[in-house]
Amino acid sequence: MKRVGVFVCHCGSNIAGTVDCAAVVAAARRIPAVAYAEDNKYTCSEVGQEQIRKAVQTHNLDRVVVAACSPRMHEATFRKTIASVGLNPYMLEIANLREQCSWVHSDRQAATAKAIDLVRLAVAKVLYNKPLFTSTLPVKKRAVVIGGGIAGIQAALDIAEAGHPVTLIERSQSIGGRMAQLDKTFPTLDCSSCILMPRMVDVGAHPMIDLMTYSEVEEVDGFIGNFRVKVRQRAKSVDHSKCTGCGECTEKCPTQVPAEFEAGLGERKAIYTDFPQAVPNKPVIDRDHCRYFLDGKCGICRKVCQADAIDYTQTDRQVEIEAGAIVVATGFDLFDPAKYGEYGGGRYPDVITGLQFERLISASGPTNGEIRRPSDGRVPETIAFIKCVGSRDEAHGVPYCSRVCCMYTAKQAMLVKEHAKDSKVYIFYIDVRAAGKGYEEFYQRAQTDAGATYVRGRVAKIFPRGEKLVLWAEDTLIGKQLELEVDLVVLATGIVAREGAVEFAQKMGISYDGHRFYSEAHPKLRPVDTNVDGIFLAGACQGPKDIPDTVAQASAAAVKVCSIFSKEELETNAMVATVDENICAGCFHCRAVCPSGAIDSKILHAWVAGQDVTRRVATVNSGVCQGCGSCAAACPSGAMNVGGFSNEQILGEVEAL
Amino acid sequence: MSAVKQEQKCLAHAIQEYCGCNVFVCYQCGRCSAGCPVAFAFDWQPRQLIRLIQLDRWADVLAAHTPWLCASCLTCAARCPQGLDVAKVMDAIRMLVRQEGCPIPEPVVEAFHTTFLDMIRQRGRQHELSLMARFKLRGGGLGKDVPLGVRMLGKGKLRLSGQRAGQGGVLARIFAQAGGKPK
Repeated sequence: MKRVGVFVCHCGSNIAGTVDCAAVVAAARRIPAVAYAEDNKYTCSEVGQEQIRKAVQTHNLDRVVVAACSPRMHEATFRKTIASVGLNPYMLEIANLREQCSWVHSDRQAATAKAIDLVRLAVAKVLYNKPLFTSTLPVKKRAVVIGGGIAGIQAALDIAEAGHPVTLIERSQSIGGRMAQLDKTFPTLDCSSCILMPRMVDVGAHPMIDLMTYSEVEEVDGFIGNFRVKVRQRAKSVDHSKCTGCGECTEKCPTQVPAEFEAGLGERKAIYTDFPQAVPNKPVIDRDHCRYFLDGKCGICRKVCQADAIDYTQTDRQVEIEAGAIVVATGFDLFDPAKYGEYGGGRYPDVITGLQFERLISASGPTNGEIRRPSDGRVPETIAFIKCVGSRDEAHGVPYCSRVCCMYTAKQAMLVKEHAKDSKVYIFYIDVRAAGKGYEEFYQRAQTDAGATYVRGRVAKIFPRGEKLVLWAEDTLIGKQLELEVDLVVLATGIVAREGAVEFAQKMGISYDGHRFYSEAHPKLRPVDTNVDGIFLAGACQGPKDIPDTVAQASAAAVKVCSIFSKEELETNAMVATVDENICAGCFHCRAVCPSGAIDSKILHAWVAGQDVTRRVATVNSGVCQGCGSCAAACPSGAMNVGGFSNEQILGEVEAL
Repeated sequence: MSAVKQEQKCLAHAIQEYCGCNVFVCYQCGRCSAGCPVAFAFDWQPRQLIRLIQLDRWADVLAAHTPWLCASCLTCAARCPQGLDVAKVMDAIRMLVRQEGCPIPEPVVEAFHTTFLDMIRQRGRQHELSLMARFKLRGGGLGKDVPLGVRMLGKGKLRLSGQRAGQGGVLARIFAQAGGKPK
């Protein structure tokens, strides 16, 4: 005889405020299989759990229903509770009376009736629960970090310092990312390069870090502890084992190409490093622009290379890396201000982005750190900064705040004072967001020390008049329209997700939000986890973030990786699919729908009428199966069952309705 | 104005019933006012008018001249980062003023709109010369723009004879359906 215990939680007033818990208990007691039922104020508390333990022992219960919050919240808690008194942890069902009942209803009577139904379903299901068991799999103790910006660099260094090997994969020629493009950083005006470059050098020199630049992730499969990451290493056309990084080839290369690193304001050669302090500081050939690859002529770089390192015959290589955990740190793109027709739509050369301004004031930038107008090279007398370009703009699909623009604009206003002290600065804003350590004080200094004039109002239109640019805005604090002539306009462009972010997420199997940023598993309590165990997030790929937050998140992701690597073996999921070989017809619909590649075939032998008859059936690799249930839904004969969600259990629930 | 209605109803909701626009999305950036070609003549900037609605200031909104001076060019609506159709809100305020029976802050503007619609109701097409004549008779400053009218006639900008369209009760049906009632 099966003996079920039902425990109804009040969750303070979360459930009890809308659901009559005593009525639910009374209804549960009337179900024949229920041997015991009670309600508690907080079932998840130590007192509540002790009640369950006591009841299991005194009433000889063999399975338990907890009617409380979502199983995502406390299923694991109560599994441990019943396991501690000798039950198999999977002899538990959760009836979700909070998220799926009390929180979404207001009619007490109807909510109570629904709660009773939910408990009846859970009891009907738990009657068919069977004990399930986990197995263990060894952990591959290598991490893959995807993206070599400050997030990826920090995560890779932290994991490597903990003694675990790391493969750091970067798409461009050098690591460094966006931070390398910046001149100085808020709120301390630290030189960005000066604090980043030592970290980059550490990555390049670390014995535990395997750096793969000019490489892209093509495919990821596997699961926590046992991922397989396929990487395409693009042909560099330079043998880095021979190259000394002398730079002679770059100097002599006759081809000029717009430089990605200079945000369109400068040029690079076809054989190039991203910037002078690149890591690795050895060039690659951009085959799309190199004369040798385009028409077979030139070859100057090979002639001047004294180390004989130029190799035009190199081909792309595919490398497969086995890893136990992955950190995704793929960064962000800037909003394209050409989408704002009223700001010129990209037609006015003296309307530039915040990142372009960073390059203008950078000592290693295209103007050697002098602020000069892109159109005529003149030093601007008045500069207008416009904030929230591609942020807080529902009409352009970017309703969120990009978080960094208020501060980087304040910083840039201060740097104007350093680089062109006679220039007048206007900053157009809607609200100033300076929530961070030292940020508000920094913003105040931009006004008091650097003398920037803040104008509250969003600019409606920019148009040229002679050599000047005219801005129309309303000063909303005095309620008057305003026309302003300036020499240079800097648009504080916001942060958007990387181009191709969705395709990449689909490769990884991780989820993303409506703005294509990658989703954390829980917005508060699991901010660096993804919905896939063993894959973690760091930096702005998860949402707009400044450097301190990015570094903090990267270190957090590194700790998560290290905690996986602290175990020799990982417990596998017990709720996996199983095949009833007697029924399986060998159609392999299951294999076609399995997203994890967990289904193989095997041959069964049987003696029928004196003959060896063979039959091909499906078999599940329980280490790989994620228990998603696709196979069970696809199976035409009902041979596939997922532990914890068997056909019997589901039909039991349906019957009880 | 009917005080009962004002006490019962929130102004923002009344506006929303007329035009479907939720004025609470406005965060007062002032982009609508900055680009407005008529703002120099307004008593309240469009942004300030939206603020008055948010604050439920019936009297100020119903007496405002801004909605009556708005040219309905829709620049504000096109540029609003929050997607608020400010021009539609202006429309709604005009409808509200008439429905509440309040004094029209810009009677000449209303006279023009009424004449314009009367013409369409009768003929299906606009005839500028008759429109101007009727508008002047209705109080649009008789004789004020006659020299301009003569010059326009000379340049062929005004036709002497008008056209008709929408026969067979089509117009009557359209007007009956629109009816000036809120959605």
